[in-house]
Amino acid sequence: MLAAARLDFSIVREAAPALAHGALVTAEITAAGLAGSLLVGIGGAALRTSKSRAARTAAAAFTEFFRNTPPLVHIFFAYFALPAIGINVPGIVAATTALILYQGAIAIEIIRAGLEAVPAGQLEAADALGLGGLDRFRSVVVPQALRISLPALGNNLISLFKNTSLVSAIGVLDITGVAQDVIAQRLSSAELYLTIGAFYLLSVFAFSAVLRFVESRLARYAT
Amino acid sequence: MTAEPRSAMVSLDGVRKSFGSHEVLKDINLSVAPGEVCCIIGPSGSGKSTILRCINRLVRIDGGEVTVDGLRVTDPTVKDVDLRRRVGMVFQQFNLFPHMSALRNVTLAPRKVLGLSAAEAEARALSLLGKVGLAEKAGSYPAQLSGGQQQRVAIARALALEPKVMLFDEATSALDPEITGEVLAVMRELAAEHTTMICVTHEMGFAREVGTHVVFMDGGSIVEEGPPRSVFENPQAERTKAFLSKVL
Ligand SMILES: Nc1ncnc2c1ncn2[C@@H]1O[C@H](COP(=O)(O)OP(=O)(O)O)[C@@H](O)[C@H]1O
Ligand SMILES: [Mg+2]
Repeated sequence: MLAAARLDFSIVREAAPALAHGALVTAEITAAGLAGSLLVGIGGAALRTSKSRAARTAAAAFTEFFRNTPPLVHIFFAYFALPAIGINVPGIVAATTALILYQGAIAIEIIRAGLEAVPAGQLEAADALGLGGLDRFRSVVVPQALRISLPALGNNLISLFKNTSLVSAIGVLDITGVAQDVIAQRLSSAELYLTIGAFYLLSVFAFSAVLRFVESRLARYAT
Repeated sequence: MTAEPRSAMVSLDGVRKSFGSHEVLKDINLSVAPGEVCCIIGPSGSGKSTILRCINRLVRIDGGEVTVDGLRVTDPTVKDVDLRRRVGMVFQQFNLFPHMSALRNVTLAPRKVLGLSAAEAEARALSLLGKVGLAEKAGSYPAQLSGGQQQRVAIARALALEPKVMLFDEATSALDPEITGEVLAVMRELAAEHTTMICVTHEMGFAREVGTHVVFMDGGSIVEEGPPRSVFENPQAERTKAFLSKVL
């Protein structure tokens, strides 16, 4: 209680514009990361389930490497090691790319499992109706695979959102980076960490609510 | 064309199929004329489903020839879609698309395969759903329908491409006995309209009354075939007699 009494949130009020900008950067990295990781996930899952053995092996190696190594190491590698071999990108680009590869590797496994869980009878029914490869994929396979994958993809989105805080380790000013800056100048940390903690928590609650709504809309054709 | 007075709608000539080293169809010869209702009976694993699946190329045959409405199934220049729009198929497990209403299940192929407009496809689908007695269920999803209703939607879906022949693979085997009747009634009606049908079935009453031709299969071969009266009342082969004594 004493500690709580000594908290002074005026520092948060002063830092509010910077924090708001940081939150925007966090949102941007999350949005780019979501789009990028879904593209990696769908493309990688298509390769993982393709007829070509080489494509399957390459996609599997990619997946195993990225999802079994820490995203912070990917971010450091992209930021510090790539310039050494002549590839120079801004920190936010390096960090976002690293997150896309990490969360994308997880999305590959999620979507692959969804594609494989579509019952064979569904493919046969589409074939028997003369629905060609692309129509079959678009109208029959993908909607059912995404329906199956949705809860896990939702978890991957939440994991991505939380992992965006890692970009602050290379100086990107997302909301965590801004908070650390303010803390370094003002030598006061508890209020700021509590504030950004609340930001992450409430955002995750909002994501979860949207996901639950979508799931309930889809539940009417639960099989 | 007068040279062949009764050209077959579907014919299988010397069809062979193996899965690995397992020979599942051994030199199958079968001819189904337009308007005929051919019923295939036989024990589980005898190759009945595989015969149906060779007809619409769900399974590729290793030898012999299958012809559907003049199209050669082994001819690589014959496109899947041209074959499949001529062949409707109804599965034991219905295989309706769970994420689509009954109406959309029926309109999907006419729109994508035949290129009908949404309005044309819907008009056709509603008339077919009416035919199977489910016009009022057009907006329902498969999970909201009973098994018998789902199978009737599946029949409407298969009819939507106006196929030349309908294949039924144990269409009532997944249904509770008290609701097989509603599906068999639809099949009887199709037969009465002279739809060409090939039905794999365990419904001996249906085969006897509706079938114009009955085929008994065992171990990948046709053991005996003929009009229902002769196969059911005067079977010649020992294996046919043994099978019938078990199921009748
Ligand atoms: N895709 C497949 N791969 C391997 N074996 C199969 C396949 N499809 C069918 N078989 C085998 O072929 C035999 C005949 O199967 P099927 O035609 O389904 O028989 P039925 O419909 O008369 O029960 C069975 O022994 C079955 O296990
Ligand atoms: Mg079978």
